[in-house]
Amino acid sequence: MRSVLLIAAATLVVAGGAHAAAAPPPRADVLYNAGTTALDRGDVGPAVAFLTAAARLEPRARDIQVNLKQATAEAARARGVESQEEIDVVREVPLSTAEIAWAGAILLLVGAGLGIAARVTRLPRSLAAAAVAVLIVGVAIHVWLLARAHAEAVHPEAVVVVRELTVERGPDEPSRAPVVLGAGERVRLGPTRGGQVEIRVAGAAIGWAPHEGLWRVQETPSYTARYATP
Amino acid sequence: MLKRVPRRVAPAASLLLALAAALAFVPSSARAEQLTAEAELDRQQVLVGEPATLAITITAEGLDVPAIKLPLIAGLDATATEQSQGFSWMNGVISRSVTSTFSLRANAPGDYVIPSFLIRSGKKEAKTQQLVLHVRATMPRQGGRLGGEGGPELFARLTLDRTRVYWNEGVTARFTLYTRARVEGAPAWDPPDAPGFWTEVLGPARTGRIRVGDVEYDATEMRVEYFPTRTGRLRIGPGRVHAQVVRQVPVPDPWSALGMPETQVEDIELTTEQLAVDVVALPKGAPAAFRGAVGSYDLDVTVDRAVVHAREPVNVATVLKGEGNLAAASDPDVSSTLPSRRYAGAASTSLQRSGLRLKGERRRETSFVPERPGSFAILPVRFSWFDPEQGRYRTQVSDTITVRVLPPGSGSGLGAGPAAVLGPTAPRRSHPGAGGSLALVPPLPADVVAWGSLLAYLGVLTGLGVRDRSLRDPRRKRLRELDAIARELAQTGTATPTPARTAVLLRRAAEVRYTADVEGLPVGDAAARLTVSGMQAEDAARWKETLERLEQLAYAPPDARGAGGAALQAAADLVRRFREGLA
Repeated sequence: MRSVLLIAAATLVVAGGAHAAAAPPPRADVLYNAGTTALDRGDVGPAVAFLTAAARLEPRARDIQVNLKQATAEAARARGVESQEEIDVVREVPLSTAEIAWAGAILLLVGAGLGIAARVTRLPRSLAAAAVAVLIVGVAIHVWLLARAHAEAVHPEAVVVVRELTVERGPDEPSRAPVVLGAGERVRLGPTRGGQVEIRVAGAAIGWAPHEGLWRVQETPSYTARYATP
Repeated sequence: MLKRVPRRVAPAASLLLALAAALAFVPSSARAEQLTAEAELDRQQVLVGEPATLAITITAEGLDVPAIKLPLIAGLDATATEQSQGFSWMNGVISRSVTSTFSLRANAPGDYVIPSFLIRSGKKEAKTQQLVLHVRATMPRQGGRLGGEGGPELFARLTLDRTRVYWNEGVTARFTLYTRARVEGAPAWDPPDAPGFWTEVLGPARTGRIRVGDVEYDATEMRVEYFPTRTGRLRIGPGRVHAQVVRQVPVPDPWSALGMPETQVEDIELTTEQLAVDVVALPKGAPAAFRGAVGSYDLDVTVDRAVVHAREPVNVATVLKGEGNLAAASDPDVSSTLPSRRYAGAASTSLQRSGLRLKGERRRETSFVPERPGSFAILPVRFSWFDPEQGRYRTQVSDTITVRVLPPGSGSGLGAGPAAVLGPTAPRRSHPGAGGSLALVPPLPADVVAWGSLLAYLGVLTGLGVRDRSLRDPRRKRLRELDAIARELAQTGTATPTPARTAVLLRRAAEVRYTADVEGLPVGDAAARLTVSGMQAEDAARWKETLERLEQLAYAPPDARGAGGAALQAAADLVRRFREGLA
C-alpha cells in the first residue's frame, strides 16, 4: 500500500512539473479584456470568440457573462434578429473543466477509500453501497469529460469572425444554394481540405467554408495581441 | 480411495450449464419438427464441358440442419461452389435453411441422372427429387436449316444469376444469341414474358466472342433485371430474338455471274427456354419504417440552409442511393418540430443500367416554411430496407438538424457596425484571472487522482478476492492444519504434548493428509483404511507402530513415560512427512 501511495505521489509531482514546464496557460482576464475591446470596436465575431474562451476558464464570472451576452446579442442583431427573446445564448455548465475534473477526482478518491475500508473493516452495508454510488458518479463525470474533450478534439468549436461567411457544398456533394453565416455564430469544425474547412451545425455537416473566416475557441489566445487594452 | 472435494462452479460456467440444460429440454419438436429437402438444376440441358449448377436446399425447424454431402454421380464432376444460410423465428419456432450449390460438368454426352438422396436429422428424414441433366455434344438445331459441322450455326439461351430470391429482390437474366453465321444488322429481342415481375432492361445489348464447348461463337447478350412482385414459383421466358442471317445459296449455273456465290438474307426467330424462379416472402419482424425496399441502400439527408428568414422555405433533400428497385422504393418521411407549412416535391429517380445490376439514386425534396422567428429542428429521418445478402432488415437514421429562423425581411443588413446600446458592458479587468486549458481536457493531476483511486480500489478488490479464494482452497486448508499439528508437536518443556494428545494429533494428521476418516477405529483397521486411501505400506506400518507405542505410553505409569521421547519424535517425523507429501 505504501509503495502505491509513493508511486501516486511521484506521478503527481511529475505531472505537475510537466504542466509547469509547458507554455503559460491562457488567462481569463487577458481573454476577457480582449473580448471587451473587440466589443467596443464593434468586432462582434472576435468579441464572441474571446469571451467564449474566457467563459471556459471562469464560467461563473459575472463580467464575462455580461459581456458575452452583450456580444451575442449584438451579433444576433447584426444578423437581423430584433427581438431580445429570440437571441439564443448558449447555456454552459457553471463549472470549469478543471473544477469538474477535481470534483470527479475527489468523488473517486472518497469512494475508493470508503469502498476499500468497507471491504477490509466490514463497514455497514449502507456505507459500502454509498461508496459504490460515489465511485459510479465519479467515473461518470470523468467519462463525460473525456467524451467532451474528444468531441472538442475532433470537432472543435469555432466562431465566425467575418461579417458574412459563405458555406458551400463540396465538389463531390449535391449542389444547392450556399448558407450564409453571420459574425459571432458558433459552429463546430470538421476536416480541412485545402483552404476550406467543413462546417457543422447541430451535429450535421452543412458545407465547406474558408478557414480564415473562423477562429477556433482554443486558439483565441494567439489573437489577443490585436486587441490589447488601450 | 481419495475423496473428491466438491468444487465451486463459476457463475459463467453455471450459466453455460443452465443453457445447455435448457437446450437439452427443448422439445424434440422444436429441434426438427419439419425437414424438407429440395434439389434444383439451373438448366436441364448443357453442352459437353459446360457447367450446370445444382442447388440443394434443406430447411428444418430447429437449430439442427444436417450437412449436405453430394453423393458421387457417375460421369459427372461435382464441385461445391458456395453455401448460404438463413434463419427465421416465427411464432416461437426457429427455422433454419442451408442452400449448397455445386457445379456439375460432364465430359461425354448423355443423360445423367442425379438420384434422389436421403437427408436425416434425428428421426426425421427427407428426400430430394430425382433430376436429369441432358449433356449434348452440340446444341439442338435451331433456326431452320442453319446447322453445320461441329454444332448449330445459331442458338439462343437464357441464364439467371439466381433461382431463389426474396420478394422484390432483383434477378438478372441474360438472353444470349450465339451465332457462327453472318448476321445482317443487330438482332432484335422481344420483351421476354415474365408475369409477376417488374422489369428493367440493363442497357443496350452487349456483343463479344464466346467459346461453347469446342466451338467459338459471336454472342449478343441482353441483360434484364427482374424484381418479383409476388411470391411463389414464377417463370421467366421464353425470350424471342429476331435476326437476319446471310446464307449462301448454291449457284445453278457455275458460269453465271463469273462463278461468284449468291447470298440470300433469311429472317429467323429463335426462342430460349423458360426458367423458374422461387420467390420467398420477406421474414417477419419488419421495422415500422419499412415500406418495401429490398436491396442495398444508403440514405443521405441534406438541408439547403441552416439560417432562414421567416416565411422563406427550407428545403430538405432525402437521397437514396444503392442497388435495388429504386423506382418502387418509397421515400422516407421528413418532419420537423415546428408547425409549419410543408410541401413535398416530386421524387426524381436516376438509374444506371450499364452495370451488372440496377443501381441508381432517388431524390426527393420537402420544403418547410416557418411562420415566425426562432429555431426548429428537422427530426431524424429514418429509412428501413431488407438486405437480402445479409438476410435481415436494416435501418439508417439521420441526425437532427437545427434551423435558425430570423425575422422576415431582415437579412440584408448584415453589417457589423458599432455596438448598439443593449445595456452597460462590464469594464475591463485589472486583476489577474484564472488560467487553464481551453481544450476542455481535464488537468493531468486530477486524472491521475481519479483513475489512480479507481485502480487502487479495483486492485484491493482483486487482492481480497484472491486471498478469499486462497482461504477457501481445501488443499491449503489441509496444509495449514498439518502445520498447526507440527507446531504443537514441536513444543517443548511444559508445553510438550502428552502421549495421549500426540496420539490424537497423529491420527488427525493422517486423516488430513489422506482425507480418510479413521477416528475411533482400532489402530490396525485405521492403518488399513489409510493404505487404501493412498498411504504407503511402509508409512502405514510406521504410523501404526508409533500410534500403538503412544497409546501404550498414555496408560503407562508416569515414571515410565520418560522413555516415550522416541515415540514423540517418530510422530513429529511422520507429521513432517505428511506435510511434505501434501505440499
